[in-house]
Amino acid sequence: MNFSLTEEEKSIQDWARKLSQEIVAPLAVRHSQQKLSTDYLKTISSQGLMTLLVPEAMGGMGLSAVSFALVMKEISKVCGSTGVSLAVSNMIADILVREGSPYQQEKFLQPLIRGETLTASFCLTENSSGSDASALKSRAVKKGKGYELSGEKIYVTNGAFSQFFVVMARTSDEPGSKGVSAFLISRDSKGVTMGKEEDKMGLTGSSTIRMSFENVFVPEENRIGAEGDGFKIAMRALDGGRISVSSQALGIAEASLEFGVRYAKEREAFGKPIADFQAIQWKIADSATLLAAAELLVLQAAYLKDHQKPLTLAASQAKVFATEAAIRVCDEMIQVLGGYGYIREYPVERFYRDVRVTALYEGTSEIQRKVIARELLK
Amino acid sequence: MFEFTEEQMAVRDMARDFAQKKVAPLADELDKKARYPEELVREMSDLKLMGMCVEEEYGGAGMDMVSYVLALEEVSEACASTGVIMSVNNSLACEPIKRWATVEQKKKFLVPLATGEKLGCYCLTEPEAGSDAAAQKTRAVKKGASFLLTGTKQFITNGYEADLAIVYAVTDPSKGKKGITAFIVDTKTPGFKIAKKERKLGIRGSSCVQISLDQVEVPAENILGVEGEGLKVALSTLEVGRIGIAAQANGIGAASLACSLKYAKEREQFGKPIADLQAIQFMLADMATRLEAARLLTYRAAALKQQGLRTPLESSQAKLFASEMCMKNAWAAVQIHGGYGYIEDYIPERLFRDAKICEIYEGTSEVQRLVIASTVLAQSA
Repeated sequence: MNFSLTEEEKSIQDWARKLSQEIVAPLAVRHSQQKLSTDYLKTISSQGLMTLLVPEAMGGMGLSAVSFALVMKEISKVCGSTGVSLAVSNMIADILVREGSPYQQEKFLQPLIRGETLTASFCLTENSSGSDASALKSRAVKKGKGYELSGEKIYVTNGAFSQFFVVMARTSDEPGSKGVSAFLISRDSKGVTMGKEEDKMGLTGSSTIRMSFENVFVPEENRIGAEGDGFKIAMRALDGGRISVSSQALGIAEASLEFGVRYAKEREAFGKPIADFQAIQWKIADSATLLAAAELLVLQAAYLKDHQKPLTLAASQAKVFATEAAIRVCDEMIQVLGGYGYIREYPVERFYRDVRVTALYEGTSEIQRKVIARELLK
Repeated sequence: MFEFTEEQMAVRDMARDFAQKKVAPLADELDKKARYPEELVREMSDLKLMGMCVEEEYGGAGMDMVSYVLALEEVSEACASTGVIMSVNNSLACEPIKRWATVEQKKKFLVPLATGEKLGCYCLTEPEAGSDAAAQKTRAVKKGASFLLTGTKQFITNGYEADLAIVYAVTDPSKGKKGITAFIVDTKTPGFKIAKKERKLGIRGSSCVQISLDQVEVPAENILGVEGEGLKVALSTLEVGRIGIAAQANGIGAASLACSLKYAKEREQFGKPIADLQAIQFMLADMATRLEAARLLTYRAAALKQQGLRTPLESSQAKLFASEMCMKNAWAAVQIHGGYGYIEDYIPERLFRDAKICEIYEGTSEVQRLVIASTVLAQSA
């Protein structure tokens, strides 16, 4: 056991901090009010941030999962909206590296690496299938040398910016997860309609849209893996996705704690800085302890991923613990700031709204607990 | 990064084997009779578990601190009383001597403690100096080449059986915190008396006593560290002690989870094992997640301490989180067992009582939060 970062990990962390300050921070307030701009995403993409896990030989950044988690945290610390945009794009890139054919890597992954598509998206959730993901209804019916895919998808992160989508649809009547397959669909395919942009509590800069697919023709070579492999592909992707969402949550909460601590030292009440009161000290102590524990769980999950060890239990533990800890910390820091915590002039209000979703997406806390219990009771 | 060395795993396996075969079968009896497990302490000495991190030349096992916390967790999982006996000897008796003593003192005192020939205890707390440890009243008055120690020490774990004690006393009342000195004291010295043996809520197999010191003569060469720098010895010792208590708490937390998993699979209600119910599943999931987080905090503190670093923040975070984890896990174990959790025939009843002490000794949760908050506030620019 050794809890020090390697020299390489430290230098990647420094690189991410520098990028965060130079590129992300100047626009963070704007991106808490309006969508990430195309120019901004181009800059982000040109730094390799959308394909951090892709091996260097394929043109990506070739980061380990541990380094990736560190980068996700640093970026999210400055802008949670940018964080989620990275999380989803990198997850799709990771799917294509792991499961994609050479053709798919050339046709879809390479444009993501080159920045021709600024982001990538994942279409799993539907109106009536959220946590019960395998109950999805979208269908892909065999037709000639491909499929005709129809269905409605919701909560498509990066929807406004992505040129292609990984879409989960049912290819057989087998109930549950077995009949699900994964497809790559270009934005400009006939029958693809971009729906409403959701109005969210937080992460205002990120795009979350509905999409509808109406008899969209998908060539067979765009199916990832075999027919019926879709759900497994999705679940493997989510193991990794849980690490990045946990890191995102950690970043937002760390930013909130740092702000709260600085504020507590400056703000005076009853003739002394509020940091001198145990009521405030306790919030700081508990927040720092929760985040320290959460970070260890997240890095452990990333480490297991890097070493191809069983990941499911560790990733779900990291996710449920880190995101719930982060939400609590962001809540406590509003309390530290009092009324100032509730107004938009101070960033803790945004952190609180931004962080809340981390316990929902990539598997709600309830799903994580179900997964953990299942692993324990095996 | 997150992998144990082969040596660490071997130590853990050895400790687990011993704990499950020898310690676990006695745990219930030790608790019910409040009996000190002399035979287990002897066996732990033979297995080199009583001075794990002491160099081999001084009779210890020469192991690293991560191995120590792994072994301590295993022993505590089987019996928290046996765990604390081991923890006090390793963390509070051996460690300060290893860190602060002269070669002569080490030969004389560390060797018997590390080999288990003698048992150590740690006398810091007083009736009126608990969390405010610096408010020491015990006096050490110089007399020739010796000091005469007079005062009362409270809540001394291992105190009833101990052969050697680390005792803090005021050598110069005019200097406040800088007037406190640490001494190594032979408990057979005239005037060193057990005033009261406490009856406790939990960890009943380990002793906890009040000690009265009446003109106890201690040679000046038994000063540990420098005269007037006792508080420095105390604080550095507690950094290690807190890692030990975190490991003990992890053991109690792990025992709570293990018996709950087993019971949930066996117990049927509503026509199926209660493990099939989400209400139970979610408690189990939270127990396991908290336990894992506590372990990582503990390993981190131990690994950093092993590098010779000061770890006030990491030790306190590990201790605070692990002790509150074990209280929550013990609570959940009782709840999952329902009525059976409340009766003495089942393990959770003992775990629930044992767990509570972890939030109190070697610095209450409140003291840990003070340390953490002051460190975080000081680090912030």
